[in-house]
Amino acid sequence: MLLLSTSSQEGRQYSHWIRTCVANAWTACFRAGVVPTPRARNSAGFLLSVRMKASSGDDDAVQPSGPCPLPNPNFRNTLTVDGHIFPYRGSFVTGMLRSLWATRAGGPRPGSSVWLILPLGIYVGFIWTALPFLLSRAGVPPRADRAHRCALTAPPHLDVSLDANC
Amino acid sequence: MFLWTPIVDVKLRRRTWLVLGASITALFVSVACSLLGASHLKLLTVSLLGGGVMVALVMASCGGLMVTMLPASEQSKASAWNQAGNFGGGVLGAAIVLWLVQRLSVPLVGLAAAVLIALPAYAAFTIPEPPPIASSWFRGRLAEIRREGLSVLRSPKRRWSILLLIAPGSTCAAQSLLPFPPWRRTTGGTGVLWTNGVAGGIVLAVGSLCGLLVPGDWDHRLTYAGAGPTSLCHHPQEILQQLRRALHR
Repeated sequence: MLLLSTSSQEGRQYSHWIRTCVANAWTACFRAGVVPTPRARNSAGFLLSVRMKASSGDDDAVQPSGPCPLPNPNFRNTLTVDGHIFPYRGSFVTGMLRSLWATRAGGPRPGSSVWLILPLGIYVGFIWTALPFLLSRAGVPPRADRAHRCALTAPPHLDVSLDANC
Repeated sequence: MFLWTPIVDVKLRRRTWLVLGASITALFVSVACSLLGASHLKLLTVSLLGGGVMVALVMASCGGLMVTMLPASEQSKASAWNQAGNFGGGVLGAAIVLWLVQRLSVPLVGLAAAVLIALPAYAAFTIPEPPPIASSWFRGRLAEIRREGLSVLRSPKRRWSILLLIAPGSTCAAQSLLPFPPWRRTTGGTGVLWTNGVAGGIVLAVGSLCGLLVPGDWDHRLTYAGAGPTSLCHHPQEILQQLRRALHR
């Protein structure tokens, strides 16, 4: 009813959104090994109107080292799963979400760096935001707080704090 | 930092160094939280400095992984995600810690912060990184760094681009001042949690992800220069407030 009550353009958008969700769910199943057979893969390809390409089996044989040898996948319209390239249309948001998956055949995804850099970010956030609050609660005088915060600023980012009170 | 971070290029995979660095940093943070107080200030500083030294390995190994494992066309996207994780995730992580502070004891908060720091690093083990080339630990490493530094300084094309590094440097210095205004305005822990934590984290993450909108084949000089005025647009209110305060003194 929802689809019927909307314009054709909105209907296409809903259809596209559903296809994207199915594609993402299918990819998760595919990665988990739930649907490993070629016939199942082909049925999924029919469902998603995608084409398969270059199935060479072992990922290590496809890419022993270095950058991914596959054509540079534009994440907005290409989904690469275990060496297969699934071209399908995806929105900016779904493209970003796909980009967050840690790896693909032959290397990491661009979005995986968000997980890898989090330890640094959380550490710096802890020092800059949470630590002053904890120190003030523990009764450390602000002057000592500033002094040791300045000492701690240098290692993570190699920038010298320009606070004149240091 | 450049004295010890090249260690991530030798002996172990970068992903291993990343997990090691994050885990040891988490340990230092956990210890530091149990030392909070005026009586242990030196020990606290030493433990957090140790954490800072180790967390630099995370940055170096993450950068190394992105450069070696990703094609050039995807490195700009990875850089945007990197900034989103660094700024946004960091501020949101601090917000979580502040939220926990109001509910748990300080040692437990330290433990939670340690888990927050260490856990995401284990995603690195999903990256199929090849083993490193056999090499010595430090032999010739400093000489190589010196050679590379001199070659950058001597290169006419790169010499002036070093000046561009001043801009991110001053940005970092300004960022370290971010926690101060709320404390000066005597905002409580909840205020800092929402302004510097949640709101700041979301804004920083979204701002960083704007880099994904810029196609990788654009002229990087143009995009870099465009980032300056764009970031300047967000600060007039703060600048005006500071000017008003200075005039009233």
